[in-house]
Amino acid sequence: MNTQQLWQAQALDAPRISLAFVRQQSDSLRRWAWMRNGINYVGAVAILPFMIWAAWSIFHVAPLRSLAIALNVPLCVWLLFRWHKRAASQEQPAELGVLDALKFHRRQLERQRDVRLDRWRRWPAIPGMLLIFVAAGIEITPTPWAMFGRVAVVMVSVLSIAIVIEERIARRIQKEIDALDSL
Amino acid sequence: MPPRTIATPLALVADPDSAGHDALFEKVAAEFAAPLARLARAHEADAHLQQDLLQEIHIALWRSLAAFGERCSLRTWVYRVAHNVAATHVLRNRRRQAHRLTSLDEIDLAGVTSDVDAELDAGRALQKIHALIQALKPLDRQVIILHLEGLPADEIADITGISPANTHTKLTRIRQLLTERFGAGDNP
Repeated sequence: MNTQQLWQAQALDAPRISLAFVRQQSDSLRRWAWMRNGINYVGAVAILPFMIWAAWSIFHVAPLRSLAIALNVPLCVWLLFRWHKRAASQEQPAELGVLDALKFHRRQLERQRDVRLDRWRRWPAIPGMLLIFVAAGIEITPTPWAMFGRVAVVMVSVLSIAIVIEERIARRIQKEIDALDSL
Repeated sequence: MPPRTIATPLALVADPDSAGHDALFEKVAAEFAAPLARLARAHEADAHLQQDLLQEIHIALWRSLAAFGERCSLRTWVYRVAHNVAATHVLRNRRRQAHRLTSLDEIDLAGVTSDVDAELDAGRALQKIHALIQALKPLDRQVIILHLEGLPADEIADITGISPANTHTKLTRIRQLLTERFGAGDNP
């Protein structure tokens, strides 16, 4: 008996996996992927109606601030679109060969790493925020410098924490890429 | 012994529009039950994780069969999907595996002695084959499993995505390795 015959003749208690079980598991996976993508976008999209409402509600009393907030809406949409284009997970085509599947997996990891290491991807949000500060400075007298300072500190802190977290995630992804390269 | 069946936690009613898909899946599940079980066993030593891997393969097959347009044979399609799932499984669990994976070229042939009596013991020989496979890098692992399943070189190249020339080189090395270690030749 050669090794091929030995291999194919090995005693196996091969289970039959029922169709219903597979369908149920597949539906669960689909629901989970839908939820995961949904949570990513809902958080970002939820802020848009709030901004529109805020811009509308103060239009008569503070038109400049209203305009500044309204200008931030397309900026947010653009940032969301850019995030979707660069970071949304892509499904691996089923028919790929093993080598191509590994390359696909590596490319996905690189995409996720690169988008997280790009600190400047948020730059379009900065002029929008500055516009709100300038509008508030013009419309509110005397200028509330203390409040501006507090808001600026909070924004810089949140941004710094986000950058630190994303750099940690990027380092973890890089380790996965290194492990993949070592195979 | 009747085949074990993994029960479904939810009673699901089949969609009548997907009857063809269901039938194809049932055919694949029946026809490839043993090779897929061997594949899971070759990639995963832990019995519980083997079961998980086998389920993952079946789920991936179920999802992929919707896209199967007979661009290749059903066997090639099934092996491609199954091996992709298995490769992902190996990558995902690499931290758990403390040992370093090696390539076919790194395996030492010279230091291995062939104890004929021991190798005649099919159980021990199989254990050794499994140990050898699990020490290999994913791509080499795929090639050796497909070779042991008796697939021709062209189909192995098609499934793995490596060039036919590279496949032939790997197969030559595998045959040499199996002959040296187990003292029994394989079909070319």
